[in-house]
Amino acid sequence: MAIMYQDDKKIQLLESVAHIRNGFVFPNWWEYLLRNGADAFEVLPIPNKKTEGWRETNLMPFFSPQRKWTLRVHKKVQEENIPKNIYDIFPPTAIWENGAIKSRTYNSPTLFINSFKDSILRGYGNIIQQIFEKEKDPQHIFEALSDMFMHNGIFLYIPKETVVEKPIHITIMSRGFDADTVDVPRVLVYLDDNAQATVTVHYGADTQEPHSVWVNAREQIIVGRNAHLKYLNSIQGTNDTLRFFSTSVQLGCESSFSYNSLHLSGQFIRSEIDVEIEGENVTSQINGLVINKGRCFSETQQLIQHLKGYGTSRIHWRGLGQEQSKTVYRGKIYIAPDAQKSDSIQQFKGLSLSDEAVINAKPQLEIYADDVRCTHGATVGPPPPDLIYYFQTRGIKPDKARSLLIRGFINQILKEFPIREVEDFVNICISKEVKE
Amino acid sequence: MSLLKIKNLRALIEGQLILQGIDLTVNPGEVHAIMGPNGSGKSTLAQILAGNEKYEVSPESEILLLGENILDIPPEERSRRGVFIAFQYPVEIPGLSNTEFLHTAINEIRKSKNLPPVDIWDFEKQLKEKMKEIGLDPSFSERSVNEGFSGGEKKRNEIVQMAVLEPVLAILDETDSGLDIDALKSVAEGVNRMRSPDRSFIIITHYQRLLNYIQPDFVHVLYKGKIVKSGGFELALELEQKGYDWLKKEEEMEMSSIGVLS
Repeated sequence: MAIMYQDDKKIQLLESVAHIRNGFVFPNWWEYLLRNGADAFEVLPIPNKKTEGWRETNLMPFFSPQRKWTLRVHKKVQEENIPKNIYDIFPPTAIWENGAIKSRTYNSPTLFINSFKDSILRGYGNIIQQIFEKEKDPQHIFEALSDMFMHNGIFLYIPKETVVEKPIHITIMSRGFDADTVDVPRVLVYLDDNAQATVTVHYGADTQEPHSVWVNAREQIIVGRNAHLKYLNSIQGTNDTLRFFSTSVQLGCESSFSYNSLHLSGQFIRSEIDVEIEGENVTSQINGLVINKGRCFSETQQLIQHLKGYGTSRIHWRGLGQEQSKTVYRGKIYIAPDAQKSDSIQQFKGLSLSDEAVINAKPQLEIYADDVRCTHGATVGPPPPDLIYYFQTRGIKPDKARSLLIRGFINQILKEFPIREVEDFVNICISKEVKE
Repeated sequence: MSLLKIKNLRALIEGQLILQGIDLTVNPGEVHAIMGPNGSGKSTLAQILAGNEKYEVSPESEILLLGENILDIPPEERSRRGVFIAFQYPVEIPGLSNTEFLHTAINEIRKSKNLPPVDIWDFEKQLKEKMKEIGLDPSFSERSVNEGFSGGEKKRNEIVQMAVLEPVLAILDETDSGLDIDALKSVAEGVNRMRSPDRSFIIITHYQRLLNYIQPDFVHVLYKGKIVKSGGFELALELEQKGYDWLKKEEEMEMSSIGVLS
């Protein structure tokens, strides 16, 4: 019966598709994607606790009987809605607000950033089409939802041989109204061969009680041959925000990619990243910090696929669990038979600050090549009593010791982030998010 | 008034009696060495003085610091009153620099005495000076506390902390273990530089080697949780020559004669 009810919910969402066209004539390939997404949404079941990879994910907040989701598309961006900490530290080059997009100036020889629709009008349709044609079919209903509602997106293109010195900041704002609101932001980043850039994407959300916002975001990143990308995404928002993130990354040979992620707040976050190392001699580094509190749920799913040899991948992921929060980390390194001489390290550390906080970690390796170096590990626990005692013997009370240990735990991972401004940003957020 | 007076210190851990009635008086300016074979209770004594709560101390025991019993006082308060312990196995604190750690420590101690806080830049300069004096590279001030340090560097870092916090009673728990001769000399120099008429030291060691460089006023031998012999520096030399076996035999003979009498 419960599933039937959820299926009713799916039909409600499907009915919203008609309203997203808004007079724009989509090219055929885009129409195909929307249709394909809608078909997949209809066919794919809602994951449940028996579905592999979803055992610990409680989807009730999405499908509870009180929720009636509506997709709202804005006509205009209101910059004043962007949280000050994001605006000041990462002044946006492009802004998304519930489907409305504002992009500053850029259509220069060094880079192009604009909405999907304007990008097509300016002659970038072929590039976008090629990227989407390579995309896999949706794996579950959340990905299907992203495709069937893909009425727009932000497209960033760095042409061949271009080095962009200044970081490019993108802000994604999802606002709620007098109803439970769905937003489907989409970001497409393409660094062509021998290009280099730093890109940051910041997700903020605003809700109106008692309604929630469901942010169903999709990021696609392509790093060309010998291209180098430093990427940061940060997620923050009110406690009534539910988020689903899916990021897919394709790395060309000799490229380097540094993906850095901050999950700072929200009722529900499920973040999936799938990195495909498609060429030889690639370097991929993934760093992340999850700060979880209240009764919030945060889950990270990672899949790093070494498809070609001589690649190096590093994962340093950390979770801080407070109060009754639940934090889940599942990461898999896959080494294909052809990916000889791959070198991979995966490490998760969880710090639990309350007896009721749950942190579960499952690092995995799947290796089909015989000449590789792979290690993985996970540690989870409260602040060690012998460390607290050490502080005490130096005149520092246990409460203060705990707060210094938390700082240390956070600082250690932030040091791995190659983007300087992150530390200032986290320092501002931390007083709100961490109960020291 | 004596700086430290230990009266009938008896302590248990997990139901096992480790210290079986220790009496010891330390006057200001004195250096006491406590020697003894492995498992005799030396480190337990150091930990109890510092306030480690995992030991259960008998209610009739007393530890008087400047006349006041500190047994019910938590470790941080003991530290604020001037008790310092250099750990045998210093812990690593990832992500927290030596400067940040010690700057917090010194300001917490100053706050408890209603003194104004020390500026971090001035403090860092002072810390780097102390590090140089003790033979630790000043760049270690920016590194996380003890993280990735060698055994010798960790021990030197403990002495740096002691030099910064300027305690009235410093307990060195096997600070010499695992040190090569150069490291041993710099640790000893650091301690000797701090010797003063109003600062006392309890040096816990297994070997006499360290005492060649820090000459103690008194040497005590701890065996099976009791001080079985006390003397001057010459006792340390005797132990070096003869080892601990003769003391063990003496003690066991005494124990068995008590057994016969009773």
